[in-house]
Formats: sequence, C-alpha cells, structure tokens
Amino acid sequence: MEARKIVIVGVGGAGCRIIDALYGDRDDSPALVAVNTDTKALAEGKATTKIQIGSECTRGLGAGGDPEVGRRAALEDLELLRGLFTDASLVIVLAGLGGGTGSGAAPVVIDTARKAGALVMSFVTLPFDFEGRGRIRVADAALTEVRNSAESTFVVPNERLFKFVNRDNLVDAFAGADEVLEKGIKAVWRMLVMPAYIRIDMADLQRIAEARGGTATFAYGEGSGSSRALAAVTDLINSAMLDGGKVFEEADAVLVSITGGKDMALSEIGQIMDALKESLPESADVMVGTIVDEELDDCIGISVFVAEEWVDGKRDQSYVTEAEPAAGSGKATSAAKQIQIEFVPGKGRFKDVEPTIMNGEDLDVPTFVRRGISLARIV
Amino acid sequence: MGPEPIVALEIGTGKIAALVGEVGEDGFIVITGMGIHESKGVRKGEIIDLDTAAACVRGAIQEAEESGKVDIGEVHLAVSGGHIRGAINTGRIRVLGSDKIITEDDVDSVLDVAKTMSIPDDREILHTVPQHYRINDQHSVTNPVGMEGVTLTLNMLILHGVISRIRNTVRAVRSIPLNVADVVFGGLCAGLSVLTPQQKESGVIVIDIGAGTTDYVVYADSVVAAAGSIAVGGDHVVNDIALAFNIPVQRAEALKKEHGSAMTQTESAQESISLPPEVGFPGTTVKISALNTVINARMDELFDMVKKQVGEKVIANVGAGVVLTGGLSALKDVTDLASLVFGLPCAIGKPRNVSGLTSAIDGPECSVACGLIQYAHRNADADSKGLGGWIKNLFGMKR
Repeated sequence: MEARKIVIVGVGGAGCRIIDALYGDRDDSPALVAVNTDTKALAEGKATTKIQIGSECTRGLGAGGDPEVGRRAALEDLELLRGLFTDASLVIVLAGLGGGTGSGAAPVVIDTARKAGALVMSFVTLPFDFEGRGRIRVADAALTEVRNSAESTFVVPNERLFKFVNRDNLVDAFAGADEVLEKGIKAVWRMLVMPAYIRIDMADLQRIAEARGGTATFAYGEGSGSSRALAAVTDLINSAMLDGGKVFEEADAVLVSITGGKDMALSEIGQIMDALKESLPESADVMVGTIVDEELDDCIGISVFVAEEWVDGKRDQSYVTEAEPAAGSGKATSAAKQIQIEFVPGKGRFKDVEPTIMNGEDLDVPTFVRRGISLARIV
Repeated sequence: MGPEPIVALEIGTGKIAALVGEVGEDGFIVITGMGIHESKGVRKGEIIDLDTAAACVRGAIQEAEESGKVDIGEVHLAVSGGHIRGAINTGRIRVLGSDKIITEDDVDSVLDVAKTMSIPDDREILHTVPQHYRINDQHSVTNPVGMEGVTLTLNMLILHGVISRIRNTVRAVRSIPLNVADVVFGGLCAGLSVLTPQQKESGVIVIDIGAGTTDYVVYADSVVAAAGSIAVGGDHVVNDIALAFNIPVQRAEALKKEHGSAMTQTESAQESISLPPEVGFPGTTVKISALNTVINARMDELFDMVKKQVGEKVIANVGAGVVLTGGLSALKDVTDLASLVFGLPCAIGKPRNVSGLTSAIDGPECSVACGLIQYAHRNADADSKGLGGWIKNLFGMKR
C-alpha cells in the first residue's frame, strides 16, 4: 500500500486515555495526538504530539462538562489543529461523548481535518446511562454533529458493555469501554497498513459506515490453541458490542477482518466465515479481509464492523430513559425492560431502594462518576 | 417545669437515639436517660423493614428506660426523609375594624389563611411556621396587634411530607407499643438545639448531615426562612468509596473515618493506604488523593444542592454563616468545603444548654434528639398559654 500519513487524534479525557492505550504497542505506530483542555491530564499522557486547546478560555482547567466551552477552546486554537493535518490522508478521531471537551471540540477537530483534505473516521463512545441525563443529552447532540462532519462514524454505546463488565465496579466499566475502542482502532489501523491476503481499504469501511445512514459499530474476538478459529468466533459473538448476537441478526452489511500470524491457514479463514455466516442473515452483504501480523503467534483475531441504523439519539434504552419512553420499536423496548430487570448499574447498596432523583439525575450513582472524574488520573 | 420527663426519639438511618430529659426553669435541659442503638431496616431516613426497625427502636427505648430509671409510654418523634419539602405560603387579609386597628382576631384569621395551602393528596402538612407579619405590604413586624393598617400579610413556611412514609415511622413506634405525642421534622430540631439567639437573628444555615439524609433549616432575621431535606448522606459517601475502589462497605466506612477528607489537597494526599486481604476480598491499595476526590465530589454536590434549594435570595440574608451538625459533620475538613461552597464562614454545631449524661452532648450526633426535647417543652408551654397554633399535630395524637 502507498505510504499514507495516518493521524490518530484523541480529543478530551476519554479520547486521550485511548491514545495512551494505543501508545507503545509497536514501533510502526502511526502519529498519536492528544488534544485536551486540561493541562494536567495532557502533561501526564503518552501521546507523541500534545495540543492544548483553549488555554485562554479554560485556563488549562478543562471544559467543566460544558460542550460550548469545549467548542470555543478548539476554535481558539484552530491554527494548532490545522497544523496537525498537513498532508494527512486519513485522520482517525477518538472521543468520549458526554463531557465538555470531547463533545464540544471533536466536531471542530473533524471539520478542520476534512478541510485539510483528509478522510476522517471517528470512533466515539456514548455515556453509560448511570452517568446521568445531562451527559446523555450532551452526547446525543454531539453525535449528530460528529456524524454530519466525519466520513464515517463508529459508535460504542457504553451501556451495551454492561452485559459483560462487572457492574459493581465502575473502574472496570470505564476500562472496559476504553478497551473496546482501543481494539477497534487497532483493527482499522492493521487493515490499512499491514500486509494482507485479501485487502480491505478505506472505501470499504466507509461503505459499511454509510450503509444504514451513517453509524456503525464494531466488535473484536480472539482465540488461540488448536481450535483457535472457532474459539475466536465464539469470543466475538459473545462480545457485548454485538448485543448478544442481536446486532448480527439485524445486520445487512458486515465487514470482517481476520488477523493472524504467519501460521494462519486458509482453511481457518474458511471455518471462520462459515461460522459467521450462520449467525448472519442470508441477505447480508459480507466483505472479508485478512491480515498477516507477524507479531501474532498462535492466535487469530476477528474484527467485525457492522452498519447500524441511525436513530435520533442513537443508544440502547434502559432504566434512565425508561421514565420518558423514547419513540422506539417494540423490540427495543423489550430489550430495555430486560436490561432494567437484570442490571441497575453502579448503585451498590442503593440497588434495592427507591432512587434519589433530582433534575433527572440519579443521586445514588457516585458523584465522581456523574461528573466524569477519572480516578486513575489522580496523583 | 412539667412533672414528667420528655422522651425524644430519633429514628435515623445510622442510629436510633432515645433521650429522656427534663427542662429546668433556666431553659437548660438535663438529660436523665439515654439509649443509642444501631439502626437497621432504615434507608435514607425512611423505614423499609418495619419489624427490624421496630426491634432496634425497642432496644434504644429499653436502654433509655434502664439508664433513666423511667417507664416510657410516650415519645416525641423526629422524622426526616427526602420527601419532606418546605414551601412559603402567603396569607393576606383586610383589617376588619372601622378604625383599622389590628386585633387578635385579625391575626388569627391571617394565620388561618396563611396555613391553608393546597398540597397533593398523598401529602400531609407537618409544620406551619409563621415568618414576619407585614402591614400594608410594607414594614415587617413580629406582633402587629394594636397597630394600624389596611391589610395584614403573613408568610408561612409550610413543611409537608408523604403521609404513608411518615405513618410507617409512626407505625413502627406504636408497635413497641408506645404512644406518639408529636411528629417533628428533624431539621427544625437540629436548629433549635445548636443555634444561639444571636445566630438566628443574623441569619444562619444549619445543615444536619446524617447517614441517610441531609436536613437543612435556614434562619434569617430570627424566623425560619427555609427548610427541607435531601435523601443523600453519609451512606452515599461510603457507597461511592466502596464502588470507586471495589472494596467492601465496612472497609469503605473505615477509610472514610480514618483517612478521608472533604478537601482534596491535604497533607496526607500523597500517601496510600493498603488494605490487607481477607476472606472474599483480595486486598488493594487506595491513594488518599483519590479517596478524597471521591468524597469531595459527593460533598461538594450535596452542599451545592442545599445552596440551590435554599436560594440566593435567602442566602443573601445569612450573616452568621453555616453550621454543620449530625454524624457526617465529623468528616475531616468538611467545614472548609462548606465554607468554600457557600462563601460563608462555617463551624460545627453541638447541642447547647444541655447537661446531664455527657456522652449525649459531647458530639453533634444527638443534636436532633436534644432539640426535640426543647421543641416538645416549648410546645407544651405554648399549648398551656393557648398560643399553640403554629404546630399542626399529625393524626390528632394530642394528649
């Protein structure tokens, strides 16, 4: 593949956290850029390039959860952002939506990259329901903007992850969300830069992202050992991002990228595709790519990208939103009911008592969670 | 002074306190008996398990009977809970007499009008607390009788709560069996117990932070200007810590007590606490700076909610600052944080004018029960003088 300049930009606290996770994985890493309003968080990060935005309007203290502040901060330092994208052919923008910097600055970053002539893919997370209605509203508005400006948008609704993370441990919940995003980005990056048997390129990804109106989700599974191909399929199908296989059942366009070491056999690729097709509707448009990653040993990874239908305020409904039922299909509502019965996340000892609700926020959920404070960053 | 001692019972989320006290001529309370029992079956100030809660009440009462050498048949009951709200209701009448001189009858009728407020069917008025009288909507007076005016206006602070929840608490006490003489909002009691007359006059916010609820009462110009309750308390702090570090609740409670602070920048912030493993818990290390961040976020939010509910207009009339009381006022640096949030000086309030069994008066944990004795005493006095109109008794349980 031609040498293309790929820039990965994390915007805001969550975006920068994922940049940290991507860092140092290997020496052929693409340029990793952290963009944030919070001086302290930025200083501690591992990105190769760090851009502080809005030092005047935020004084380096973060956007305080206000997306308008995040947006102003990005506009204030537009020149710095422009400089990042010179000659870039692909820009991947990562952000957690719901906070101030991610929600406010990410659309500006995307817009700037596009104007510089790059293709832009965005990977964003939507808040857990327990983070409160305020953050959910902010995230929904920001997602609309992101979707309108980026070529393709991949979405991780965090609430879906609750099916597999430890619900009583918030640290795990957030780390789990970060990990999913990290894996998705790595998969994309591998697809684009590594030697491949069957090549998938940006245009294919874009097709998936646009197939159902502009957003897509992704999932990752891996397996090792003698029956590693099938183990990887099982791991993938069980992953939370596929919503218990529901995402597959409704899929009409799927991109599958299989990554293996030099020992990967063609028969294994066949096995994987046969198994996947069993869970997919016959009518689904399936694209396959295979990648050889020489650093992988005795392990096969499968990444799938699935187009998802765009609904306004795209998210899985659950207990917070249940009070004011959103216009959704009957199917979505029954899924929401199920979630509500099984999980009341992040409430610990208040699980069984009447919640303290004020201004739409569940006060039983720890304040630091609703305020989006990352404890891991505290020194 | 009445021949019979007054018994105050507070059913809290963390503990149940029964105090036996007598009020002397000088207004001082002498505590003659007390029972403190751990509380079970209560969450956020409301009873969720009647039998368990009743057993705990029985324990506290028995202890109070033994230490006070009395038989307790009747109690005054303090209640709390996030359902309790305060609202201002205004009554206005035309002065009747042709000479426009305000009479006792005029005052009675404006009291009646101000007391009448429409509240949802599931709610009951707990207290009606008169504020200032205004003549012709102008100057404020405390006693308008004999003055001249065309209209007489009275603002009344009305505290109301959900009937079924208040009744659940009463039911638990009656099942002991005990007679309930009176049901009083705990926040008012805390104010009565910890404040000086000077503080009430210059304006003060009392915040009683318990395990399950945070009650507040604001005095401005010697009247109760606002009051209410928020169903957030020490249990929330502990729960936040337990969830943040994935540790058992008991460990979280100990961490909060021994190392936690409401402020993030403390001397020990750079230290870490290691929690040794035990059965079912693998052990972990907690950074004090992270612990304090969790506590600080919760307490900052709590004070901010009180501030918003009280409202800027009322706070502008608060000159004496903020007084914290209740179990969580023992949290390290909590006065610093409150002072920061409200922009006012802040101190810890302990029961005043109390003597007798000293452990009851040592700390801020018994502010409500001590205040309740004062309230009951004052109320009995007022009753005998025929001025008891400002207390509405629930369920007609007057003696």
